[in-house]
Order: sequence, then C-alpha cells, then structure tokens
Amino acid sequence: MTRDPIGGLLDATLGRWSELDTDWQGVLVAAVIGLLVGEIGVSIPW
Amino acid sequence: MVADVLRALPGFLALCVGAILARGLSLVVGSNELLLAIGLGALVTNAVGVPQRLEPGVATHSLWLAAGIVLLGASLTIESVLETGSTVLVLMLGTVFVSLLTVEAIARNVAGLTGKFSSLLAAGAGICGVSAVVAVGGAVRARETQIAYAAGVVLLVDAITIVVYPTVGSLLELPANVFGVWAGVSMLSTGPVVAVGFAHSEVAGQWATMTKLARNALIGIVALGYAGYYTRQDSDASVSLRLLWANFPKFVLGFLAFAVIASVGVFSPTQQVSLENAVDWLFLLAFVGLGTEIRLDELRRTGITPALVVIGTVSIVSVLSLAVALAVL
Repeated sequence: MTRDPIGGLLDATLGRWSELDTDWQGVLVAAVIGLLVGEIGVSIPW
Repeated sequence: MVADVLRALPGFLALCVGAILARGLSLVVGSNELLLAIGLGALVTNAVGVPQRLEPGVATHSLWLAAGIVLLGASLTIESVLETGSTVLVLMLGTVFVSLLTVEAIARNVAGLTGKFSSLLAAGAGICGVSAVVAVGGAVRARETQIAYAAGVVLLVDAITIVVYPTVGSLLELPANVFGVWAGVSMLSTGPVVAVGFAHSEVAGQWATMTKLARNALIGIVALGYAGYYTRQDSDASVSLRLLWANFPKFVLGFLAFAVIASVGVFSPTQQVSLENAVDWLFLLAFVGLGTEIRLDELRRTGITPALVVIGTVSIVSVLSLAVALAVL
C-alpha cells in the first residue's frame, strides 16, 4: 500500500493506461476530448 | 508510471511546436499544413536527427492519429458512413484482392523472393502498410529482419505516394469523392492516406478516411488467412477469433461510436466545429511525428528489388482503381 493515496491512484490509473495498446489509448483520448467539448463546453480554436 | 509520462513530455512538446510551426507556415506560404507537418518532421530527423530524450514523446504520434480518426467520426453521420455503400466496398475489396495477388505473383515468380517475405509485402501493399506487415509477420512467424525490411519498403512507398498522389489529383483536377476513395483504396499506410485526403479537401479527407478504415478492418482476416496457409493446421475457433480480435484496428469502433453519437444530435454545431478543430490539431501532432519516421538512410538500405515489386503493384492498382472510381462515382 502507498502512503500517498493521490499518487497511488495516479500510478494505478497510468499503470492501466500503459497496458492498453495505441488504438484503445486513442479511443480514450478522443472520448475525453468529446466529453470536454460536449459536456463541459470547452471550445477548441484553430 | 508517472515517470513514463514525464519521459514522454519533452517529445510531446516538440510535436506541439512542430504542429504550431506547420500551421503558421501554411498561413504564410499557402501550402497544406498536414503535408508541411510531415515535411518538418522529415527535415528534422534527416538533418539533425531526433534527440534521444525526445524519442518517447515523438513516438506517441500513432496515438494522436488514432484519436484524430476516432474524433473524425463526430463530423460524419451514420447515414454518410453507410453512403460509402456497396460501390466503394466492392472497389475496395477488388483492390485488396488484386494487390495481394499481384505482389505475391511478381515477388515469388519474377523477383524470386521467399514466400513469407512476399506475403509480408503483399499484406503491406494490400491492407494497411506497416501495421499489416507486423500483424501478418507475427501470424506467420516471419523473421524479424523480414518484418523490418518489408516495413522499410512500405515506408519508402508511403514517402513516394505522399508526393505523387496530391500532384496527380491536382493535375487531373479530380473531384473530392473520387480522390478520397482513390487514395483510400490504393495508398498503403493510414497516416499518409488521411494526410493527402485532407490536403486535397475536407470532403476528400472524409472519403479517404472512411474507405481506408473499411480496408483496415480486413487486417485480421488477411492475417488469419496467411496464418492458416503457412501453418497448414486446423486451428480451433477460439484461437481464430482471438487472432482476428488481436489484429482488428480498435479505433474503427471508436470512429463508428462517434458517428452514431453525432447522428443522434448530441453535439451542437458550435461543438462540432470545436471537435473538427481538435481533429486538425491531433492530425498535425501525428503528422509531425510521422515525418520523423521517414529516414532517408534507412530507405536507401531497403534495397531495390522488394521496393520495385511494391511500387509496380501500387502503380498498377492505382491506375486501375482510379479508372474504376472515375467511372462509377
């Protein structure tokens, strides 16, 4: 067990992330951007 | 694991700088930003090389390409995906079939290459470039040197088609849908297909991406076919399905999911514009990194015979598929 719960959570999340192949990582990145734009209203300029 | 992210950060920032530079340059010189991004990456890697500490971050370019393709689904509706329809599907299947057979025939009978190496070249030319070479190479247990060599040939042909396709498209003034489908069925790797498609026009880019994704979806079937051919053993269904799934490009599912979500009107027109901008930035990041893969010294070492086999096949398939696309679209 880690004494730092935030660090532990971050490590666990990123640990799972690096187990994913590039395709799934791409899907997740796209999903996060979709949520940021669609739900939170983030605007992305060009 | 946090260390992995920190290790990738400098290279990722370098991709960001390259993307902004390509965007800025395109505004100044009036050239397409995606092709400029590839050019910048190639220039850096061949002039000074990519510093070792930037390599982990630069290597993330395939992740940004996958994310960009998935998000591209949001700018389409499921109706427009289905509209690619039976004509394009038949053209794509015909092109894959002709490419596989032509490379196998020329490589084995004319160039005298070994069976497995011929199959790696055929998979690279027929399906989706380096990914198909690696997938089929793993499925048929090809030697690593054969896989690396075949991947080098694919990268060489990619570098040529990135220049030739936009030039031909411009000279012949091809309509957007014809150019997109033509690039999608006959070029090799996904990145260059998307780049030249969007370099032509938004519509051409969408057609090119959809056609190429449909073609990529065949990778598992082709890998399975070659594995069966080379092992000549009956494999049980679970192993076959596992091989199919392992080689299936999963971002196609994400692309379709976003197309369905966009079809039911989840995103407002303003949000659609933001997502399209995100796609443009993701592609810029991806193509700066893709450019760094074009290393002239490695291309020179690839050797002329395998390259000529694939270049000859791509030329034949390219002319045939363009003629058919012009006739039926």
